[in-house]
Amino acid sequence: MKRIVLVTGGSKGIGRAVVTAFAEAGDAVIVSCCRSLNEAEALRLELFPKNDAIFIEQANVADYAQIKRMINNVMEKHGRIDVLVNNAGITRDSFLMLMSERDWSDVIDINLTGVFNCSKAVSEYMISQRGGVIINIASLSGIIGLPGQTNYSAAKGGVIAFTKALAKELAHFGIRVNAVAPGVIETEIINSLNEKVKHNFLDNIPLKRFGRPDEVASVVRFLASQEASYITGETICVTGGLP
Amino acid sequence: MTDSIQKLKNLLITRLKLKVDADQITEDTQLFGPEGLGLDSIDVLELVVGIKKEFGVEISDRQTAEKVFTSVGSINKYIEENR
Repeated sequence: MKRIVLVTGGSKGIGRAVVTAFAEAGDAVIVSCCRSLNEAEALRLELFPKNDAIFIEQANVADYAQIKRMINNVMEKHGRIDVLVNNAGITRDSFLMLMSERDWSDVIDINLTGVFNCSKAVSEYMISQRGGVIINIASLSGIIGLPGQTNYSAAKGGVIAFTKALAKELAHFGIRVNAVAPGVIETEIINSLNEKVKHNFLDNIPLKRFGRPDEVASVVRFLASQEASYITGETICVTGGLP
Repeated sequence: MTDSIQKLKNLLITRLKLKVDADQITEDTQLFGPEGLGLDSIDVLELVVGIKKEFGVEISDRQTAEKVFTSVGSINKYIEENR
């Protein structure tokens, strides 16, 4: 039986790689996105020859009413949700002294409250199903703290603590909750940096290269699989040896 | 030369411990890069605090900071407009 997998922020970057990994393994994947509908549709068409069970839902993770509506839609159409990957996220970097309240709250609302909203909305169904997997995409920034990212580090650190707490709440129902903490991954943001900044990053990474989105996706897939059946409340770093 | 630019030059030299004379700094002097004063992001935070203390002018968001912290003249202009 095909698993029903929901990936938030699934149209770009790491989310896109996660959608691709599940789709190539034959799962039915719901790509949730907020503003990147065109990218999501392009991804669906790209995957279509291999897997015609890719569906797109538009919702803002920061808005519980929208998420509740989306999850209800998914349940009506598919009847269950086996895997939720909370991937949607943004950065609004600046030093604390120059950070606007808006930059703080936007990052917290999407990266942390978004995880709360989606997890809460799916958990009632997963509890009824007596099973399911929730995987949160955290960040190295949430473990070591990075300058210029007090908002993002706080949100991602919050996601890691949330993961541990929710894992304990839901273990009784056969639901596992884990997190993946990527380091510096080749995405649009990294590609836009100048060569000197890239070089500085690389110098500090023991494996001397950036990670690829598919290297994060493979860990997400592992955590969603039966092979990880005894892992819950855990955060796995995919950081090339950092910190 | 306005009073504020002289005070600003002194603030730059003393707070950031720059090894240059005030005469060598003009309104066109850039803050970053080898051709300019070679400041870094930590220096900018030091300047934000110094400008608030010395001139009572607050810079508290990234967009304003990016606009203000380009040259000595751009800082001076912002101070004159907002003090």
